[in-house]
Amino acid sequence: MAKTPDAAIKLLSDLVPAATGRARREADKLQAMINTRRGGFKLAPWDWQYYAEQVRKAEYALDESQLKPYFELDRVLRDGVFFAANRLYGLTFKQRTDLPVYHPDVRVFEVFDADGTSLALWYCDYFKRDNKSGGAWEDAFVDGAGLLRTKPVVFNVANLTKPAPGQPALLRFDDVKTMFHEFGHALHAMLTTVEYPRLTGTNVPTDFVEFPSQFNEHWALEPTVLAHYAKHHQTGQPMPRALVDKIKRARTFDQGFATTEYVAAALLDMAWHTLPIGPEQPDVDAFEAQALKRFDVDIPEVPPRYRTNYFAHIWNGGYYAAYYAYLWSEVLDDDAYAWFRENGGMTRANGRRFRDMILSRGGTGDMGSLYRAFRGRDPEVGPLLEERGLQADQK
Amino acid sequence: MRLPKRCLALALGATLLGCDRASAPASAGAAPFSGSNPFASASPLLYQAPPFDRIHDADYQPAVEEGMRRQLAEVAAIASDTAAPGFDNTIVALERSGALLTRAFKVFNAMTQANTDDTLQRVQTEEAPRLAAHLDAILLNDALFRRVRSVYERRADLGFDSVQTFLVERYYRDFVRAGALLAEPDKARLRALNQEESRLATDFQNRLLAATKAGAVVVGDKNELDGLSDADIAAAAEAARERKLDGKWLLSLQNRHRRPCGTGPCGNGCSSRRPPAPSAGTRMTRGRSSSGWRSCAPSAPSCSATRVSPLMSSTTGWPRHRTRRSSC
Repeated sequence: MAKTPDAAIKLLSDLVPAATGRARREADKLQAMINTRRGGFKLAPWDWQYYAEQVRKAEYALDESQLKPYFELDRVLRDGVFFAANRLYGLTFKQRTDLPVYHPDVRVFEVFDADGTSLALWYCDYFKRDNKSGGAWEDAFVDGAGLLRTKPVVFNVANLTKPAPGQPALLRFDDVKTMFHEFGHALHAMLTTVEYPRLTGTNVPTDFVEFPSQFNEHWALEPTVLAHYAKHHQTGQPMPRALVDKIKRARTFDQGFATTEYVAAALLDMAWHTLPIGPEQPDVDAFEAQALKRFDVDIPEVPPRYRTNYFAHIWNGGYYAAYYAYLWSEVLDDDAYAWFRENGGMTRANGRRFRDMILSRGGTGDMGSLYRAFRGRDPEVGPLLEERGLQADQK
Repeated sequence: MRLPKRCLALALGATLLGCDRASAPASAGAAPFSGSNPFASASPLLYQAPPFDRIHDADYQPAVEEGMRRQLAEVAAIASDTAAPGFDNTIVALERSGALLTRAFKVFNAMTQANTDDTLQRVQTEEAPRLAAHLDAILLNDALFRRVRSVYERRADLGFDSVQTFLVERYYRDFVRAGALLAEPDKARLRALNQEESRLATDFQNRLLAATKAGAVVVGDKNELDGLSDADIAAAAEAARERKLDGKWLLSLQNRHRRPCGTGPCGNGCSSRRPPAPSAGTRMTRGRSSSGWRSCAPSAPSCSATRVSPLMSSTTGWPRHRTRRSSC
């Protein structure tokens, strides 16, 4: 979708001043914390995580253990993830216990459209197991494609901690967002109306594929959705306002660091992949240092998220010259969410538009045109800056 | 996140040239393919849901191998069609090819990620180079490419709708990016470069994994863990046990594994024992964290492999975006 290296580099470079400016201010805060605590040394990269955590505790007083009783897995699924998909797209879900599964933890749901038409099957396999890869993902057993007369049979897998027998599965807010995220991919796969397998569902460019998933994460904090699912697992009481506010306030914490280390790595990826063809092999460390300096992201306390000698993505595994894709997709998801806010929020009509113009389309056209048709203009980076709390640093 | 974690998965979304592709004796123990294989025909369950009650580990390999044989036969028929190349007899025919392979492989791939065992891992290792060679046999098939190119060059005159046009362009580009337009000497050079890259990538991955493992910190005195949560300490004890270091604590390297609370030991001098952590493949990713959007390390392929070959998601239905996660 970016089409050219220059377009990707421009997006990244444009964020550098805001990201690094914010990171430097964060560094000052951490240094102040060090001085208060103990003093006597200068903040280094390996100190960041610990002292950022101290600052976070001091400034936001957010403790995960306060939140977990309000995030019970089944409730998050039915009253959060499914609820949001119902509000936006009219979908309903019915558990199918008659279909075989590969493990007892797996559940299957049949997915119905607003008019009662059956659309797809969706499996979830949420709990951690020793024989499961780490992380969370979405994929399909069967792709939906008109040509093959197939309907989507899609699954989400995660590694949530399995509770003791009889106990509820209480989640971290991170886990909640993971569920919304992977379900966003699943929606992309399940709502496809595409004829050809090559272009159906999530068969889209790398810098577009995370758009529907990240977009779906936004609904986890939507007031009507959050109020619907975030209830105490024992008392049924809604999450107190003060806790909700804490979650929202803490969202932009440490974003200078997070943005800078990511942008630095993404620019480093582009630097390596735009190296002219030639017999000369540059010294790796020198090349890296020079590239970071050239892009003005050489902050000693904030090294790139991956330095060259352990940057596995930029080998031939799928993110070479494409590490920028996460941010590219994020521009889209924040900008699309902004469209919703500008146009009446979480309504069926808005959901229908997003479904018809994005989710159902797979990779059937130029992604830029697809997005432009939905948004009425090209994506803008403003909403992303706002989401990350960087807007003040941008000017 | 979309990186496949294992060699086989990579081989499918990609062309794997580094593995030993020459030796491919059918593995011992796998039954020959027959009509009783659960993948032999489309599942009768709703929406062709996988018949997990009938699928056994021994069923995957014969189905995948037979699936490759059938797809190659289908592709050969497309390439040697005497009728003029057109959308239906070339592009659509490719879209339809590989049904058995797709059916079996998608389930197999899902199981190797979510519910694997020694048998599945062995099949992965054995099939990766064969699947890679299979992809090459399609992508570098000159007669096939000539037909794709012919349709592509006449796309404005054949009355296509916009999606059909886009599909044809996509196919053409898939072939071109895989090297189809190169002269034979350059193709040979490309193959060699891909081989070299694949070998280097394997080497890189292995070194990285070894370094990551070696970089873990073993703690013998619990006092040094001051500042970690009970859950973190329990996890570290468990990690140590897995390495037969009972009674100790192992802090493994994870790039930016930033937990909301208690992120590490923090006594004087401790920070130097927590080097900036590389982590390839140690942690597949999740959604953005509440404390920051990239709290998790991206996964990276644990096997070498590969130049991506987008075509394959079409001809076989293999998803290029095999896994999808947010973040990094």
